[in-house]
Amino acid sequence: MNESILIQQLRNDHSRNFAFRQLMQQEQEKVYRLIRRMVIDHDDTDDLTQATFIKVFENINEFEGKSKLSTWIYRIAVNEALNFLRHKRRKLFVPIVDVERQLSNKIDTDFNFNGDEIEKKLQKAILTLPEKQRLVFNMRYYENIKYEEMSDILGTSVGALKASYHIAEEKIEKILKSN
Amino acid sequence: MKMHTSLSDMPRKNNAFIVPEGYFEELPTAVLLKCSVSKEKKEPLRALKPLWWSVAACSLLLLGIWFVVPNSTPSSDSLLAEESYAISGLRDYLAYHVPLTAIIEEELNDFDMDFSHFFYGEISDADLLAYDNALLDYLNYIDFYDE
Repeated sequence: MNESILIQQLRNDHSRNFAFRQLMQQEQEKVYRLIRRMVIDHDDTDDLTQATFIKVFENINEFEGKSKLSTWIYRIAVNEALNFLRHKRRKLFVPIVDVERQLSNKIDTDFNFNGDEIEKKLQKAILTLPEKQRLVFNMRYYENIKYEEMSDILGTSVGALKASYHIAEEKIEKILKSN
Repeated sequence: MKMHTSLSDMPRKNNAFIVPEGYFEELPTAVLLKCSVSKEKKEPLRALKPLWWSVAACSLLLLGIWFVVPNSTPSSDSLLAEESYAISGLRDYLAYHVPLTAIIEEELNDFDMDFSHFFYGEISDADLLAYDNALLDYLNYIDFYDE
């Protein structure tokens, strides 16, 4: 469906629910995966994915149409995930490294993780990256999101994003080789 | 088994994280339910917007204050009644403890003056002075008999 028609339907009380279901079917998996790679746990991801779409539903009238609707949704999802991790750190009074170590341990123990040893190693290597670098890496490596769109989502220049991805790639390869 | 040491030759798995069965089918309904709940929660706030609700609330509050808070300034009638009661009490007390003489009778009669004008806005300096003097006389009189 054309995006402008979908937005019109989302802003109309009579067609809102129908259009919202369509929007969710289009975007929910990508939003879920983006958040899941950041917070690892399914239940946390479920909460954050729902929170993201509730915000989309409630604030659709504030969407100005300056970017694609999906870009706006990913931006909300990224903020939700980053806020969650920040809140978790503040709540537990633990440094960044410890939260990431907790997430890394979760990969070992989580029965909802289906990856082989190589995949586990890769996920743990990704978790050693700083939050934003991790986001950039996941968006590019797994979701294949273009740098221009990533720039809209994260509010960072394309050049900085390319550099960030390159550094992340090097770090991960170094970890993989060291093991 | 091949060891992957470079990202470029690693298989890109997008399904390493398992999602519970049927999760994506149920998610839109779950989100829409929460959206409608949060919408319902907001509605009473909108209903309170009209001005007449605020007026009604203020009126109720004022009425409540009127009924609940006791009247702090006693009426002039009740003051007068209290004063008369006090004087008759004194008269009874003295009648019981002190042998009444003509002087006492006279003093009491002097004291048994009309105070009503004190409570109807006619109080002048002279009235206050007279009242003070009468009280002083009375107190001196009490002291005299106590000794």
